[in-house]
Amino acid sequence: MAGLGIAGLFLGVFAYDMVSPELASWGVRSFPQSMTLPPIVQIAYGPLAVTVGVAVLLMVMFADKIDPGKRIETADSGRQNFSLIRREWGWALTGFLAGLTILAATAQGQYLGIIGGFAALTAHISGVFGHTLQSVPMLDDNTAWRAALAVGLFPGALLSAALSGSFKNVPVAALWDEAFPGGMASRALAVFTGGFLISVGALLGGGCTTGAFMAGFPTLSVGNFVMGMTFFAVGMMTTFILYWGRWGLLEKVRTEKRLDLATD
Amino acid sequence: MTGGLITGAIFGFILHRGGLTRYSRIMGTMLMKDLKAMKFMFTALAVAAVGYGAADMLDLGISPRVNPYLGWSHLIGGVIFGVGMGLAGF
Repeated sequence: MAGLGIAGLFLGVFAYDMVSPELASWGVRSFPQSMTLPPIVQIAYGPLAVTVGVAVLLMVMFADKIDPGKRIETADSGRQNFSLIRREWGWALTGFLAGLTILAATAQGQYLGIIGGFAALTAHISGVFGHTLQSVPMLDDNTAWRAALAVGLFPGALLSAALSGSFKNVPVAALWDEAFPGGMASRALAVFTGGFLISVGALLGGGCTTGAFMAGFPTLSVGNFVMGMTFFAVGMMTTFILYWGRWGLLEKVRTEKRLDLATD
Repeated sequence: MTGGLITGAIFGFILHRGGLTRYSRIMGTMLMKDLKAMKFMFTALAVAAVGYGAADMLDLGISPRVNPYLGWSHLIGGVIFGVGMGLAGF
């Protein structure tokens, strides 16, 4: 299943690559031009970024107060009594570590972006077969770093999965299985199509959830703000339509099946 | 390149460990039923923002690469990406 998603991602990179030279003439993109918040509000980057960061942290604390998900968490807490090695970690710890990883990538002179990594990886693999991507014409240390980043994700995630004991192989997520007919077939179609759209959309819009949002918003780039807010709004609309009238299903499946890191 | 591999592995580990690879976690945030994924992302974003800001004020020479272009593609890409995200749940 994950393989199909990755196939969709790669296919998306090629699709984007074919249209990329036309983007400027279609008027959807201009090079090189960038717009960030500091000159607009006339505050230096440093203090503004710190202020935004602190404001966002306060917002997260408020979100935690009203989070309806904590009710579900308590309901399936029977399975949460595992050691730190087996159970899922909280948002505060993992969020903090992810923030540090973003900083670590920048400290190496690089940039943390998953789809960007996949594009670089596609370029390097294509290069082996003598094909050059128009959107990644030059292969150098930077593209190699990003390609390595995309490759590295897998052993990292697999290690965590192995430690959590999740190799019981759950091909179709329980929630999907409950909500939609067709089991494997319908999920496979959604994962493949979704992967394709994610690649094309991210490369067009300048990043994925990691590159444009988590790592992109801190740069205070207006383009990233537009991209991030658009995809969250559209993503929510898509999901609300998919689960139309069955919005309570998530809570039901999670508590009844007692889903956790290893079974979801 | 080794740096990229290690950074990727650490990030992959964190994503899985935080439950960000769980379908119901992503759908939970999209349906506003379980905000864990959202809290995770905003925390990471905030930590990075404070880090970048502090590095800038202290002149540490660590500054992020800023998205180099501007245009309708952000909006169009956002719509396409959003549909994909809702469909796939990752």
